Amino acid sequence: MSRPNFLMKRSLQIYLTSFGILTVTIVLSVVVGAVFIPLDEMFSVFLDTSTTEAFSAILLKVRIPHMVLILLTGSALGGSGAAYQGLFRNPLADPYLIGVASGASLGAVFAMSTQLPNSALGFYAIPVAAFIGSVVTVFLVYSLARVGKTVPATTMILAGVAVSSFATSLTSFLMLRSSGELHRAVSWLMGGGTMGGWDPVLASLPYILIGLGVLLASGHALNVLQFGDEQAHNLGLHVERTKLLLILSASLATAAAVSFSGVIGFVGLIVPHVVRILWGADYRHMIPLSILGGASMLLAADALARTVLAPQVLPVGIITALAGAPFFLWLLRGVRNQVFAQP
Amino acid sequence: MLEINSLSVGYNDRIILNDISLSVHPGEVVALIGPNGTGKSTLVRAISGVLPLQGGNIRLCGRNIKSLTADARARSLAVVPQIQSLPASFNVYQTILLGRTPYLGWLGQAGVRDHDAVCQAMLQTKTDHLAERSIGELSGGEQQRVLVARALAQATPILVMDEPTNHLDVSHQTAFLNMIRQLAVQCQLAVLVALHDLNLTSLYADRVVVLSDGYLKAVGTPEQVFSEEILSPIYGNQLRVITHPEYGTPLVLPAGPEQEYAPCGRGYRIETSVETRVHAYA
Repeated sequence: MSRPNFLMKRSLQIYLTSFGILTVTIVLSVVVGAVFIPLDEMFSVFLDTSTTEAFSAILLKVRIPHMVLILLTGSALGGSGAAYQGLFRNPLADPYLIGVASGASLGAVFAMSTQLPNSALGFYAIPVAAFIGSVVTVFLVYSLARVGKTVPATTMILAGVAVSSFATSLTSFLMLRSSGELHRAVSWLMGGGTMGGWDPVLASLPYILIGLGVLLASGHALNVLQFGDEQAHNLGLHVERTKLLLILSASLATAAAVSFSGVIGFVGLIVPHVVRILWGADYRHMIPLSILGGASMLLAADALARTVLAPQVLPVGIITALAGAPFFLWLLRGVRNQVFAQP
Repeated sequence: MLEINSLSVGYNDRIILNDISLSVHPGEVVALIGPNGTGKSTLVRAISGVLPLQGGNIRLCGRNIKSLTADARARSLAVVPQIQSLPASFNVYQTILLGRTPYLGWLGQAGVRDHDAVCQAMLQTKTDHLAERSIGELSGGEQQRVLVARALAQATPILVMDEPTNHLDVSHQTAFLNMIRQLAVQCQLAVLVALHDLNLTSLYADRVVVLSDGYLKAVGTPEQVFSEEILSPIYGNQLRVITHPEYGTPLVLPAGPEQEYAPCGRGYRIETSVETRVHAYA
């Protein structure tokens, strides 16, 4: 038997499909909203032919930067979710498992409640505070979970749950104390924090690119880790170094995403599962497909969030769970016996 | 070749193994035996570098294990673990390919040589017909062979196995150990294998290492080591050793049932348990 090509054909097919879906959702995200932009108008903006100035302004200053930010956020959540599920070998793991979201929430709500937006940092006080909150939380969880020289997955998850609960309590307390900002805080916590313009895109881009770049290169290491820390060690992997690198990269990408968009739930949890059900659990493909899937899902959810009650914009986190959960359950019902039933 | 010199290992402050010295030469199958909880698995974990050593040293082909990088260690020593639940979503080919990890870069891009090594390992372990099957749906014997194939794909001169025959029936046990002997001789592997079954050990091992209470009690050929004087105190049981009618190797027979049984007072125990339950409800 020579090199197995029984997977090659299928993987080409699934990548083409994924890119196809992503393209459709990108176009959808750009054309829909409070004002519908016809496709021919959209293309004429790019081809620099005659077009109405209003459409051009909406596209270049509002729709496209927003689309790119959502695309980056969805990619970060999908890719990190897949990495965390592989790293912790736990199907319930999502990008927020070890406290990124609760730390970011605490930072953001703290910034809102103390009126930091009026300070020198200006409008950026909230994302900066959220980013600091999430990074501090992840480091706290990681150092609390250390046992000697190793960081076992179980202690990491437990430390993550404990620290998250602590941060969430503080967040709730801050929200109760500052009723003036309550509506804004609640909206942020449901993923309604997306900021406009190109600046948030440029600010989050490096973190997300670096984080996802490392994850994309770590597919083989994640495959090895599926057999447990000890077997991974015996196969020649630097287990603790690899884990730390994966945690840092996934957390960095997630923190950057959450800081500019608020807490968007469910994408990072279900997209990797959908990929696993439809394709299989080889992490060399799980990570890129989850990145593509996360971006597509969030773009679609965001397009819905902007149209359902237009001109009002719903927090996208509501849509991801409302539309995503039934879809996921439907998928799960069909195949759960094949994929999740352990012998 | 694997050399262990006056090794001491423990968890935290508790010493599990004291002053263990042994060596395994190429082409030789050395069995590690001893009662439950005497540190067979601990020794395997120490050799594989998972546990820090508290004394002594381990040499793989002449080089101290502490001075080796993770890659270099995994190119000298492969470990076949006890079967636990394996990730069901991997197929056999993918699983065996992971044995090439120490030869691959960070991206894990496998080349022609890696695929050839996998194919050869599958042929040697008769797992080639399983290539596309998910490892979760294989039988215990097949899973164990896949793990050996993964270790062979690592292309190491030393192979260490932790009770690989645990979940196999007697025919699969003998088939498995035959395969291991054949690999040791054909590929000149130094094989150290922890085993439970004394009679299989006697049939298939070139040499036997007996561990008891964290100390090395005896080393030698099965004929030298398998005597009533050595084994009975270690297993705390009056064992009988006879000669195999066909191969002339020693066979170890367990002690029979005791002649008199003390009454266990079952009725009394039931009464008290009911009483305590009543108290608990009241």
